[in-house]
Amino acid sequence: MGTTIPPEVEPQATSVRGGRIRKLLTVASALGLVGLGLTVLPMAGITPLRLALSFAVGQPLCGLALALYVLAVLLELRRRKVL
Amino acid sequence: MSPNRFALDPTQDSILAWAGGGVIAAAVVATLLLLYLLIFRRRRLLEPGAKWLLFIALGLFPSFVLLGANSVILTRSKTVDACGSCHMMQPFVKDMRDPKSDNLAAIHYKNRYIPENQCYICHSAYGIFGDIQAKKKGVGHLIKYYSDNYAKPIRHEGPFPISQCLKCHAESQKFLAVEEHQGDDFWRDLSTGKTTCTDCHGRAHPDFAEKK
Repeated sequence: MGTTIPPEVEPQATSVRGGRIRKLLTVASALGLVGLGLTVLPMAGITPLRLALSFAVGQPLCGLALALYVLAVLLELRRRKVL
Repeated sequence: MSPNRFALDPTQDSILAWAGGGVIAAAVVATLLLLYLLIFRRRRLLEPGAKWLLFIALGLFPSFVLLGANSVILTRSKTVDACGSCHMMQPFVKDMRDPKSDNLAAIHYKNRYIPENQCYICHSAYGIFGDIQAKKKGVGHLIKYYSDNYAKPIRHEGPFPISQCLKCHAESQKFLAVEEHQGDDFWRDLSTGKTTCTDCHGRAHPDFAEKK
């Protein structure tokens, strides 16, 4: 016996991990959506608030969304044991 | 921004208009893709097709949007309207646009000695480093504006660099022909900051006390 994991637990663990990766992709999509909107806000007319929202919030959110997407892809590859 | 049919650089205006349209179009496509994925394929985001669409919507299109939006926004932020969008700058802009004003900025504006982007031309040096420095300062001003972390009344930071005036005037024959502008003493005093343009030619903007 010892610390051996019962075989029936493994598929469930994999499924939970897949669910988390899906959540990560959902969060990345939502952040990307908000980030894109804020980034192009000053195109409608330049005001200090729109500039601040674009540079300080929108663009970092777009970067964060891409980073989360890359992380999710890497986790997915690891889950499939490609990496 | 009203279109100027006598624009100095119609090519740049046209490129900006196209770039602006392209940025908006890319942002719209990316947004529609993301909405489609979030609404219709939320449970199937791990499928290869969905992941490729996500790559397009989160990587490919946003790269274009960020690059294009920054170029367009930074170019448009050179305009007088953009400078006047901060309320503490409005008295300066108002005075500059007043045809009755005799301040240096107003004289340059009403006579179109500087045809466009008048604030930016006088408050930034020539060339790429001038642009970068001006943008860095602009972002700094934005942070100070929203954090309310600046001394009132606002003043120009340090002495106004005389090179900003001389970049246009120094080689002008009208400038060189003036007797007071000749002689080594004049140029030495100018270069050491002992003499400035406003000593003889009046102030560039009204004093803060006059602004409402």
